[in-house]
Amino acid sequence: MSGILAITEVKESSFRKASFEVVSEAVRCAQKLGTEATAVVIGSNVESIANDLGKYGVKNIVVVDDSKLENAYTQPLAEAIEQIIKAKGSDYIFFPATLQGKALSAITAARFQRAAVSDCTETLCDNGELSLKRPVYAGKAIETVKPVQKPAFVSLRPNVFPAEETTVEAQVEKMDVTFSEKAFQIKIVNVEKAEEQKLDLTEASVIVSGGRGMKGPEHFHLIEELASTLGGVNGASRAVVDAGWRPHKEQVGQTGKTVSPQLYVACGISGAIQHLAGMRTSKVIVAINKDKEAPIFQVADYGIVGDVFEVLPVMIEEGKKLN
Amino acid sequence: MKIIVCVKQVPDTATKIKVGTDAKTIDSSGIEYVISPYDELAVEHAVQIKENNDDIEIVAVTMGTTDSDKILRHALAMGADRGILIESDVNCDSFCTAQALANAIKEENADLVLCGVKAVDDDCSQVGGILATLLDMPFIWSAAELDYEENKVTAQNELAGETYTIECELPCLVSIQKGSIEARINSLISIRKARKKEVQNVSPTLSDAVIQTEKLELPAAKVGGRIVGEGPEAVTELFKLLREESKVL
Ligand SMILES: Cc1cc2nc3c(=O)[nH]c(=O)nc-3n(C[C@H](O)[C@H](O)[C@H](O)COP(=O)(O)OP(=O)(O)OC[C@H]3O[C@@H](n4cnc5c(N)ncnc54)[C@H](O)[C@@H]3O)c2cc1C
Ligand SMILES: Nc1ncnc2c1ncn2[C@@H]1O[C@H](COP(=O)(O)O)[C@@H](O)[C@H]1O
Repeated sequence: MSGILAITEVKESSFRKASFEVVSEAVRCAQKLGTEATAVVIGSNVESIANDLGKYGVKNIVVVDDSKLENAYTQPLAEAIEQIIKAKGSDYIFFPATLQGKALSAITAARFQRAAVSDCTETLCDNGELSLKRPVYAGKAIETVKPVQKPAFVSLRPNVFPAEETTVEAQVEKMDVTFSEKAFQIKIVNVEKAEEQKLDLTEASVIVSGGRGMKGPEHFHLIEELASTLGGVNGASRAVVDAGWRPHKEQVGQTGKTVSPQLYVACGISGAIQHLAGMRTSKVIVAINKDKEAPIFQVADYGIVGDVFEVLPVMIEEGKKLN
Repeated sequence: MKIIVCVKQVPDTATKIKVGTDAKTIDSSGIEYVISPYDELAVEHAVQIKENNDDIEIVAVTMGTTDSDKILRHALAMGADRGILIESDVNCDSFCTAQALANAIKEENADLVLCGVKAVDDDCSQVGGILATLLDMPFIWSAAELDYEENKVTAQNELAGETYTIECELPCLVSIQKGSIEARINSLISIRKARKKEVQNVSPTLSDAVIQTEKLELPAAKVGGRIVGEGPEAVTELFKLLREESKVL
């Protein structure tokens, strides 16, 4: 069997959301290419969750459940995937384009003398072959590329591909793989949890970001409050990260995170080219800025010209009514 | 100990991108090239390790056109000791790039190789992982913080609200993302000194392409964007549009 492998990402015995998108897109592409999709679940204590993937229309699920993978880093995953690809003779391997997914796709592809096509936002099936569209220059341009050798490796940008639910009866196949000693050279020695568990910016479906127009770190509770009433997370422009108002992990843009949420709300952000680069593929963009000439309005679907300190409290009230 | 830092020249991040006549690559006329920001941070990490330890040599490596000499000099001014320029005009894919880099640095027997988490032109995040595999080194990805002590590196990486601390004995390859450190600003004296440092020009060994570019285009311009209104009075209308027109709430 050739076909498409959809690699999922598991964290503490549950799937990261991007996994469902990858499985769902693999099922759609397999249909168009006239082949089959197989989901891959690798980890320790993962067998029990594997069946959940049937919800996304995938009929075949390969599970590698090995206690050695408890707290393991990325390398053993690549070794496992290599063995699955060889066993299945797969043509395409899809990964979620999370930070881990991109790293894993690189070290797995390299084992086959390949590179992965990273962070794709569209798949095109033509004559039984796949081409992919992906943003380059941080979204200032879009390239269409084609992997010319099989197996081919692809990662899909989170939040872009729909995770469609169609229940099928999935067959779960357990597979044993071997790991080299070298695979465990890197050790995760500590994992520190934030007090409050938030989705990563790259996975969030709603993001509310604040910029220099927020005037100071003491006002970012407005951004956080609006984000949480809308069920999202908060982000920031580089100007406020550089000023030390917000941690760098919140930075959106060319030298921060690239995000594609369903809804992006930019508050007091001018819309510099490097910021736009990180968020312009968002489905819907809302901008609140007191300067009606601010460049952010050129990419916004909806804009409000106004003072964030007047507009945000009303938005928070309105947001609360939704729940 | 020897540290190799892989640096790439990319269009300045403020550049407006124009598509070239081949409809596959950008029109490079008038573009100012700079060192990719994450690669600059990787150089900074290397230089800080050198400042805090004895007997460290830093080699900056790039593959690119002859004018990539400029970003090598930038790395040298920051504190790298010498440079290697793999001269190539060909736009090649991540595998081909990693292969050429691997061939050029294999003989150096580096203890630590640093890359940026991504080059901000092709945004692939591939070369680091592939290079690590080709050099048979373990790969730590996306380190925001990096410490070196007695033949071991400790990296930190923040993911979905959790901070991971990762350890590895050398040799190993680490890709660098933004963390608490900033790249230093080069003084005139350091720039002058860098001119005298050694840069070795080598020719690449290019493998076959594994990914082919078919087309490069600009993203569709936003149509139908509009100002909903002014001030807090516009909020009700905004929420109505988000619910009913774009259906994102
Ligand atoms: C190499 C490089 C990389 C970069 N990478 C990034 C990146 O990854 N991400 C990023 O964001 N930037 C990046 N930048 C920086 C970028 O160029 C801008 O400087 C930055 O995005 C500006 O942030 P800002 O919009 O918050 O601030 P400003 O540009 O100062 O804009 C503030 C805005 O707030 C509005 N405002 C002020 N007061 C109010 C109020 N009371 N109510 C409503 N609106 C108000 C103003 O009208 C203005 O439009 C990069 C720059 C370089 C050189
Ligand atoms: N042509 C190149 N020369 C030197 N280093 C490179 C080159 N291309 C990529 N790299 C390194 O690999 C990293 C990731 O690049 P990429 O996979 O293209 O996003 C960069 O940040 C550099 O450190």
